[in-house]
Amino acid sequence: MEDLVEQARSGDREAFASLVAMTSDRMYAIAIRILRDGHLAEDALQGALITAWRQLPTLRDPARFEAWVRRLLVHACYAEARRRRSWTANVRVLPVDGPASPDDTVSVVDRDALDRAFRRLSIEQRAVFVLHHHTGLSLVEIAEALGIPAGTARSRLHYATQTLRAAIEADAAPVVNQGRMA
Amino acid sequence: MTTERDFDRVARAWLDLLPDEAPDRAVAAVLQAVETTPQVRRPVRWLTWRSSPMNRLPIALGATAVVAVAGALLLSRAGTSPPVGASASPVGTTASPSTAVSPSGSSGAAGAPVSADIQGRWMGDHRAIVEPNAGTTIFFDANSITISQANDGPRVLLASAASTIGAGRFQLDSPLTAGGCAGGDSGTYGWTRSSSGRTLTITAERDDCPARSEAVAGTWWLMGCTNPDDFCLGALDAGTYRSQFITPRLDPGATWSADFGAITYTVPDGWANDSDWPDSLGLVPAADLTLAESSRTRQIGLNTQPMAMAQDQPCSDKVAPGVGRTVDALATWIRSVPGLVTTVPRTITIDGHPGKWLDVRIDPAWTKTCPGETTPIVTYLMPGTAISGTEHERLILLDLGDGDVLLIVVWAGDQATFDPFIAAAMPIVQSLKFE
Repeated sequence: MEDLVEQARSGDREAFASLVAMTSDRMYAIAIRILRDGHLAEDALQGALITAWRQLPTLRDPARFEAWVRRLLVHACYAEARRRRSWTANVRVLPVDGPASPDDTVSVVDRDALDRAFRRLSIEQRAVFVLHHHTGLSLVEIAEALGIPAGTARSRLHYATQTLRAAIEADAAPVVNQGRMA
Repeated sequence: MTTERDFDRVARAWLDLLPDEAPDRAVAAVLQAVETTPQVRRPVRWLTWRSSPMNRLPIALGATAVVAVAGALLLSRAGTSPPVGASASPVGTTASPSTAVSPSGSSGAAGAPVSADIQGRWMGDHRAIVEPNAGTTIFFDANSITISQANDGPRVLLASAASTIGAGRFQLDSPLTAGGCAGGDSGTYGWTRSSSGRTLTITAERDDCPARSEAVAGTWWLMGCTNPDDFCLGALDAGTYRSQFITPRLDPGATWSADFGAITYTVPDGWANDSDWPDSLGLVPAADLTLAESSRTRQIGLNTQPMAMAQDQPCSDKVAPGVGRTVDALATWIRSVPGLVTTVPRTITIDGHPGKWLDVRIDPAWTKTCPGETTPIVTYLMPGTAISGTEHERLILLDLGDGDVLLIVVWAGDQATFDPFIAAAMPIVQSLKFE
């Protein structure tokens, strides 16, 4: 990948196209999980990759290409989320395609609870949660990726986790009680 | 669901429910945009860590995320997909109606194509249809118009079928209920174009759809950037213009949001706007527009929130520790930067804001450069300010209040070019007004 970055940094569009092919799925997967909206995720992905192309000559260490793009992407997600929030009149509500067969690990009730609770998180908290639980980054790596102190990353992850756990447990409680009553 | 491990497992499974593959159209949009997007190329005018411009990036594809209204319109008209893009800038008063030329209308039959004189992308003021503080763009093709927010390329906010109904007149029809208009709404408009062809004035005659009338009527400026994806005006008529994107008070690293008209500038004939980004704006002699960006040797460049660049290694991208971000601190520090020859800072006032200016050139004895370069270079202010070879620069550091500083760089490739360029550029610099 580093050779391709070097070539793309010198203006080679074919090399950049190869980099896009290598990274776009991973980047889109992050964006759609943070934004929970397929079209916003596409916009964020496009913005981040075009910015990456434009600013590639300023990237000093080719080995850090993917981390650098990931950072651009997360910031693009912030912008998309804020634009959506500040201008609800133009929000497009479009379906997000899920997998053909849902994983049984997460129940329909949990999915619903997690969906609702996740939307209550700030976009920054969502990003840390996704980078940790989906991408598998450590808190130190997240802090480095996002340019935030490790303590901030830890705090955001803690808050997100607590919120989501509480949502699942709160949703589970009435079901149990109802069962007992029956 | 009581243990941390349980939660992690459920969370991961829940996250895994979403797709992992980027849609082909998104990747195609990126690759197409890259074809026409230049890279930040020169070490001088470095644009490191600039705030992300994704909000205004054009995705110049009809196939991209165009909302349903545009798709329906296109289907109903069987026309070509409008290149959805954003544009940059202006506002203000430019060509007067008295300079308008007679539009080359057609026979006047309904359904005739829109005049070629007005086909293309135009940029305008804020309209109610766009987000607060954002500018607006309108795109005419032979059969339709689309209106977008200037920093929001892929989204079409309003689309209508368009046809010429007489010399200097056109009709708009809504194919369906969308964008504040009902299906079947119709309106007629008149238009004139300035003699240069760069300014379009549209007058609403009548429209069943008030939202469209408000969005379409008024003054529009041709989006004439050399690179249509760079969102600038290109060559300008003499007049006063407002910036589209630059946000002088945007804190470094902060999330940008639209700030149309944050800066107003006045130019005589012969100038061009060659860039307008959240953290920078450029004006060049119009004659230089034909040159490749890397070959241009004159510019007035505005850069937001300058910071001292570390000098511990060549072309560092780190902030120099211990240097304040005030006008006085930066002006004093610049005089100490190795490799620079500077004049004594002098006071200046622009639009009531105090500042200091000094001229800078590179020490002829300086030999250090950046990796991969051969010409001597000194990088000194972030974002994006360096000097190389025989270049001369006038730096103007302006205090905008509340700790915000704007850097204005008037630069030329050598001393002989610098002196006359300064004479031409400083009246423009002095015309700057800040909202």
